[in-house]
Amino acid sequence: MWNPRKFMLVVALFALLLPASLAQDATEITFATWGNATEMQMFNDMVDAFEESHPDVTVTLLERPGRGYRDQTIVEMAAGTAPDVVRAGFRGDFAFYADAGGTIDLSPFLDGDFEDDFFPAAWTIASVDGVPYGIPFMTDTHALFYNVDYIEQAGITVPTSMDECWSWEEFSAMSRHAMDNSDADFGHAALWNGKRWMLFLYGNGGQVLTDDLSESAMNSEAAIETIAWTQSWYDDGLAPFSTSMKLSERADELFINGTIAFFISGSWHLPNLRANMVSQRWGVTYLPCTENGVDADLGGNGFAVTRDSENPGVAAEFVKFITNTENMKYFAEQAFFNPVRYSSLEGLEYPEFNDMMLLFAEVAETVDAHHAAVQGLPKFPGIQNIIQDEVDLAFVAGQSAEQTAQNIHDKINALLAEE
Amino acid sequence: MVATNPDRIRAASARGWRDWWSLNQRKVAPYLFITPTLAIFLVFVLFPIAYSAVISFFKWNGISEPDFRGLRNYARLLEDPIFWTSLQNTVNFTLGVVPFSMAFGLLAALGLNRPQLPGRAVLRAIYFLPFVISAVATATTAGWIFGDTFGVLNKMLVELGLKKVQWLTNRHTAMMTVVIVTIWIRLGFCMLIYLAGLQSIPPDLVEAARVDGASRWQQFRHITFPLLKPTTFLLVVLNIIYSFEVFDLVFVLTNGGPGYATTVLTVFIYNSAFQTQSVGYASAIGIVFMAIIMTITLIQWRISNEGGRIN
Repeated sequence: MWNPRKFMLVVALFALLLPASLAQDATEITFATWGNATEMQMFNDMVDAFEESHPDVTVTLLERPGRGYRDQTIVEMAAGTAPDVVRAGFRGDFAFYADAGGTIDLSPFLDGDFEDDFFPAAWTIASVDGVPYGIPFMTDTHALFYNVDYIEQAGITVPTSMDECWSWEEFSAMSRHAMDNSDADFGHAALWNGKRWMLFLYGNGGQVLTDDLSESAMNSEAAIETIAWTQSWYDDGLAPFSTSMKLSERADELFINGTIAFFISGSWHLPNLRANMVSQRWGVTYLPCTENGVDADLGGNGFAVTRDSENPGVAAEFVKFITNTENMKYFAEQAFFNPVRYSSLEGLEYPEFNDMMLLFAEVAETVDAHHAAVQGLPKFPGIQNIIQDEVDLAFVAGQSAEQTAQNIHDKINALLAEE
Repeated sequence: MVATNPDRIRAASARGWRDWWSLNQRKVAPYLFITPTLAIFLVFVLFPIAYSAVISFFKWNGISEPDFRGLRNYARLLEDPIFWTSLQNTVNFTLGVVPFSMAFGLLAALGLNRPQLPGRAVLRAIYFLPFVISAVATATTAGWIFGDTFGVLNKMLVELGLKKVQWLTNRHTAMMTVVIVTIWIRLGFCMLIYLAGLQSIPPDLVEAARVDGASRWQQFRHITFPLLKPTTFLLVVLNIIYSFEVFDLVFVLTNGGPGYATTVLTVFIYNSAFQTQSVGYASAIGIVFMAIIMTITLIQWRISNEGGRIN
């Protein structure tokens, strides 16, 4: 006999059980990253596109602050609760996570020729002993930002090609000239860390480590010269002490508010300058160089799959998706970075600052291979910390360049000797 | 109706429980009250300390398998000049912050304890505000005030025809600046505790001294200050512990620089654990640090107990 109550009960039970049975088939992965509003929107779009092409997969995007991201990731890896996909920087992060067993080898998920499309320096950094523990996503490098109003006041003409780059002495003289003959309070400043200082060392023909990466090479003339030159920025009053390694004021803010005439940093400042440096004009030119050639800061990052992932295959598929040619190109164009795939360079056109971005790309090509190899070491965060601490002492505490080089040399050797 | 056996047993059992409870209630109840706090203490304080103590005997990068090293982390610590610099900085910071924050806090409390003072409540809130706001926000604000090039203070000095001061970028002045900012934060807290102390002093004592012809200074010197002794002791203990544990303020304001001029022990522990990934070494520093704080607290406790007996 028809019983509407029983019927409703069966329907309700069915309705309750249906999502549960569907949920069993769905795969969930988590993806943690940092980013500004534009970047997070792009990551959200990529997640949506991935979910659309993989209806059985749900990706949860975890937005985290850039500062402290690495600390949080390490703590989560130690606790066994890391997200499936994490972002790793070109500061030894890939090698450190891999060396500690926090991330997995991605080669089972990649075709044999997968790496051929990537810039070798970026691919090297994301690998350990040739084994890919991540896929690089973007790179950035440094150039010289200048205040157009100030250099016009001072009658300075900036280099228009890499061949015309100012020597270190010329740059110091231009910085002094701009300071004395324009409204700038100081000549220039950099947004430092230990890694970024290395671009001048390698540009001067120096190396942090020996060719086989087994020992420090910081007790060299090139290293002492580089320390002495960057130290002279502060000793000669060209750069404010507040922009030393352990900064208390940000060089980008000092450039925006017109305190400094020149500013050494990367392309990611472009949107910020466009939005905030509205009362003065600005431009980008080549970094000062030496007779030894040029080098560039090797910034950038990519993605890795953690050992805590219960669905490493899906997580690897997601990493491959966000680093594919189209997504990499789209992200680079919108967020003002350089891609690390050759295929992403085809038709690459930035909606704004296209010429400036091409200049950054030109500079990025000068990265020394040995420089990249050092940044790919698991002990690089420790090496960077040593450089940062000791060079800061040279900048603000009067420690001699010779002593600084020797201290860095000894401390790096002690770090490398640790088992 | 006759009660069945199980019913009797249940009734006897309930009676037994009630008898036991009425006999032991006074003994057991306090433990029940402290159980939630004790559980939190065990999980979030005691267990991490014990775990740190174990880790301090290992070389560990935070993720991979720890490698037993015996006392090598402690031996390394003794030879590490940055450890000794950090310890010295911590002591200097404490010596700067504790007496001055308490002295200024007492002054503010004495001033704000006067009922006839207009706007007393607003002034109290203004003094107390830096303590309530997150230290990161306070440190950021302090950075804008003490910044070398666009800091408000240096702009004012220049307007007055004076020279700029390297508040945060000179290794001789940076610690002083950090201490000034901390005094600014702690002053409100010391003021509040002193206000509570002042309000617990019976007004008739001060009144009697006034009638006897005691000056304001004599009233303070011989009546108010001695009666504030327990409050002062409490503040000394709390401020020393706070000063030893300061991290966020220094991390945001100077990041331990210039050089190592403001690297206090907590910043050194953080750098060791998260910059160089020497978690075992950082744990060893933490354990030594805890031993130092416990020793100071025990000495203070002993002094306090002796003071109590004399009183």
